[in-house]
Amino acid sequence: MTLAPDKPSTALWFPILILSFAPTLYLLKLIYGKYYQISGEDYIRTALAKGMGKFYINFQHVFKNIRSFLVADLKKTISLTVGNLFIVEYLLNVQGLTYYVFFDRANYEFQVAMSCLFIVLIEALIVYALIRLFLYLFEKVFVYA
Amino acid sequence: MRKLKSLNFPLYFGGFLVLIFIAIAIFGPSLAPHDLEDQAKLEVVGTEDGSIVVAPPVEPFRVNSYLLGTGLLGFDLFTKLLYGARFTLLVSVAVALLKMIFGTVIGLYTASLKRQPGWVEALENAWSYITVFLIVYFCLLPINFFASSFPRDRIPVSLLLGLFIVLTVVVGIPSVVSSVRKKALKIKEADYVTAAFTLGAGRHRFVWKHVFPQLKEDLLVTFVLEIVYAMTVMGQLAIFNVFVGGTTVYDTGLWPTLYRSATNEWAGLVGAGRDNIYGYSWMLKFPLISLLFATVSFALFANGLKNRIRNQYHKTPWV
Repeated sequence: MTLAPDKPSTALWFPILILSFAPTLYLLKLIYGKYYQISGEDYIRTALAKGMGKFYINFQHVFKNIRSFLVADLKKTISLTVGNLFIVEYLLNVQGLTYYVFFDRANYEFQVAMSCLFIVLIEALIVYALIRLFLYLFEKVFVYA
Repeated sequence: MRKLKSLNFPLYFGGFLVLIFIAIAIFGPSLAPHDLEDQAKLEVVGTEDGSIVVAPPVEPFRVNSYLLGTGLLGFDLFTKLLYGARFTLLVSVAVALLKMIFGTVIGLYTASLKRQPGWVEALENAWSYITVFLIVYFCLLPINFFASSFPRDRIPVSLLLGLFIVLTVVVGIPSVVSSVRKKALKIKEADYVTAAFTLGAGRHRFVWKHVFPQLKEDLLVTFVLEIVYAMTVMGQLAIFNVFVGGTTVYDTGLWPTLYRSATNEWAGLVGAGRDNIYGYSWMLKFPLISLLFATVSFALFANGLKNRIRNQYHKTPWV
């Protein structure tokens, strides 16, 4: 990805879309499995028998139990995305950080490649922090409102 | 109708596709219309519509002897696919099997320890975030390529295959250990395990009589999914021209440099055909369809197994 002013940043929507497929499907599969498992528990039946609404049960009972799994797998999801970033940038010709790690063989410098790898790592950390922040806000608004 | 609906479609269909794939891997070379060394030569062939000139690259469905067409160098694509299937199957199954065996044994015995050592958890945490293909890529990059003009310089295919298998297994074991260990620890909390320990059961009894039988089906599903995962890693490497079993480099000065898989395994054929997405798109399409067929069949099969287990043991959801 690029923030350079002379690069057209509007052409990035397609790589972003492609990159988002893998983590989306991964999380979807995870949440679906956990939801299926948790919704069979007795406290869900009790809540349902008390006549509580579906939204209420989803946020108060199911979500709170899924949350720990979600947070635990978040790191893995991001690492999956970072791994795919190398491939997507290569295939779709995005001259981002991974370009200097892998393919700029003509003027390859170890320091440049290493610092690019570290910046990718820092970016991953920032993304993780952002998602945690989003999750925190989501809980504030919908779960503990 | 009700019975038809409750039929576990993914299991049977996926199993059927897996069987076909295994059959191709076993009988492929004997069904192949050509040898791997046969190159299509310039010739004039008579057909019903008159005679046509056949020259490499031959288009698919044009001449019967080159059903799926040929590559730029005139080697028959169908033959390559038939010869390559066994490498795809062998490597992915070997990787998955070794990973499962080592991961399960290490995971179960670690779980049977009285106190879980902290470094195991730390290692699992750190290791499971590493992208496998990056490590394997940088390890194979210096040794995987060899020029077509110096065939004697090359490292033997079996050695490169073995190296890939060992690397992927070593890098992949910690994640299997982690999942097995966590599941085993959950079972360890059960009362009957405490009772067994009180009655004097040893670690081996705990592992093989109490935990393993419960994890058996789970492990089977993981095994099939690991096969799919191994194929994915092969495909990821192939995008960067690192083909499992070696990359032959044709640098004649006339072409753009061509990279070809030494084993013709399917991911390698996809990687090699990638340059021809415009113009000679069949060189990409047919290997890609084959690779998709292989991965989808195993993924379906795993899904079917999962459905079966879930229907047997899980509670029905209320919501």
